[in-house]
Amino acid sequence: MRIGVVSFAHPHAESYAECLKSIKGVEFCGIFDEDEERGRRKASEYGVSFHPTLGDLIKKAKPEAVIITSENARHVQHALEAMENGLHVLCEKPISTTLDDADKLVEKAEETGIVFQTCYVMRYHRAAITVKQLLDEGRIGRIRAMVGTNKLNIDRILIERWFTEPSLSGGGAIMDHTVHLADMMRWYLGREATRVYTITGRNLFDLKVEDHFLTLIDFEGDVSGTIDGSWCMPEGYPTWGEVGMTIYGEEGVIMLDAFRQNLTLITGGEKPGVTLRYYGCNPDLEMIKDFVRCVREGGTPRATVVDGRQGVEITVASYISAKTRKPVELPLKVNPP
Amino acid sequence: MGTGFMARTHLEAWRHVEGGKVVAVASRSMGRARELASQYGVEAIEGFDKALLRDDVDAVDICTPTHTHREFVEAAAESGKHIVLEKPISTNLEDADKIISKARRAGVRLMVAHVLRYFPEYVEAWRMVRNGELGEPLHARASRKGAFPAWAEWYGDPEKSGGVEIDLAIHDIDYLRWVLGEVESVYARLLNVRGRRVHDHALILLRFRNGALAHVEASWAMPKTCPFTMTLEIYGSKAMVAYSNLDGTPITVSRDDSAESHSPITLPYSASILPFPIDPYRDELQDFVNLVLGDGEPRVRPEEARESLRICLAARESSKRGEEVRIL
Repeated sequence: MRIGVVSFAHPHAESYAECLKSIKGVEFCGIFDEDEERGRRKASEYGVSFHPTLGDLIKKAKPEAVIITSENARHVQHALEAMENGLHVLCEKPISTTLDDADKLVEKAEETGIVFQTCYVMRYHRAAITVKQLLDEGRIGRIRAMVGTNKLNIDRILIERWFTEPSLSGGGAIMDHTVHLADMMRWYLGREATRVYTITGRNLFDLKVEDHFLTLIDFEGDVSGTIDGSWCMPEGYPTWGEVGMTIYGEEGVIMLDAFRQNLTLITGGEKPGVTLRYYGCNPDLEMIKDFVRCVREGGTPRATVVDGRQGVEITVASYISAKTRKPVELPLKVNPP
Repeated sequence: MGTGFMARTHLEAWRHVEGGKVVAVASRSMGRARELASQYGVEAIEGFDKALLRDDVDAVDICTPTHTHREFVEAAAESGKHIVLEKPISTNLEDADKIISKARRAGVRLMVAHVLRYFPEYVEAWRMVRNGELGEPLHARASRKGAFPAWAEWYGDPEKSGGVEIDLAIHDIDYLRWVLGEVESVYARLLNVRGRRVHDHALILLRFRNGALAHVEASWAMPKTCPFTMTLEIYGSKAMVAYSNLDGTPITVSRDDSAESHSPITLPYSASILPFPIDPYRDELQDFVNLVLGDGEPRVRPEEARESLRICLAARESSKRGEEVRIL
């Protein structure tokens, strides 16, 4: 199967490209990137062809599917063009920056019958899956509360300028880091959010977008969860960040710290410091393997375009709440601008 | 006054306080008073009124259930006794106001024992913020979680304890106010995870006047097998600081015949085994004695204890109404 990569704007593209290289029967066939310099550099690095437009990639490299890792605001145009040309799509999160665009993607995916998978990578993380199994077995009884954190080292944001450029990112930490935890909560509960409240504060860093926030979500069935997806960790933090969730049930508690499996590396000399080196599972690889399987067998991905859309809705509601300082009821009645 | 868990903790700490000592333990139950008093070599008194009549009592340490605070503070103040009062000051603002005004009019010292402001790790984090080591502190998370305090029945009665949102969350709310300043708005969900009459889990989001945000979690919904945990994270523009009580275990004892595989010894709270005790309860009570003997301001002024209670009550109101509550 031939798979192309649309843009290396998102740092995850590197990992996805490595995964493509390692999956049997998959050929990483080409790169389209609006940043030509970057695109050509990556193309030579991975030994694949570079294409100056998505149309050119589709026509010449003849992919069956694409992985879209462009800037958030460009996902929709790239994904629509890919689907219109019959290509299956694995799309980085959030799938769009507006609910209107998310709805367009849902509509197009349904109309074309194409496989559209959302990169909710935590659904492929071994530890997160184990928690799902424990919950489904009823190990802690009915879930009543969830506390999620997806805090990020600010250095990850500073290396990619577009993350803080609202016209490309669609926003800051809320846009970047609401969807993973919101999706995990929906996945664990099998229920939808009914109300979203978010606060933003004064920024920690000198950025054009919000770098920290706190969100509280109510779900169907009298369950509440909080999300902290702040870009609040200083550069000296020994790793990229974390994904954690504590789940309170009527019969017990489960605590997940998904990226806890690390070696501690302590260096001297010119760059003294402490670094955590992860040795846990590679959820990116499992996610892409599953995407390939879905394309081959016509299966339904673990995170669909609808899951992607629900994440966007919660994110959009968060922004409305932060602005109005009121909780926002879901589903949103009118698509906000 | 009182013979419960906090009375015992304070009695232990009083042994190391200079300039003040415990002369008697007073309780409604003479049996319980005697039992505790004999362990600490002090007198047992049946009933609080009798204790207040004693001329050799300058001050009272009120460690009784929260709903009794007002009654005992009023009686103590009328008898001209200085008062150290276990937190929370009360379960409601009306009683808190009465407590404060009564002590003021009687001219007695009143200190509410928000001991977190004396915990060495929390003091150190506060000092880092004050020194500017974190830059501007703008994001914080604090949690306090354990099994339900089943050792005393009154915790389970919302009228008596105020539930987890008042009895437990007030620790971190008071501490965060100390570090970050005044709260501007509160949004919260209070839950009955384990089906009790009181809320046993609180999720509280705070916005501060200086633009900082904080996530406060307080729980009595943990399984009994979980150790009591408290965590603190403060994120600033220059640095972050993080703490978990589970990490601070310099000594662990393991034996073949031990029921538990490991039993960690937490040093700061084992005053009796250390030559130089670092005990926040001792420091707090020492501060109270200094306050009574000299002038000085308490680390926690009564009005601050009231303000922290007001934030807890706002969390309750927010949870009930499903809206953000502004603190004016």
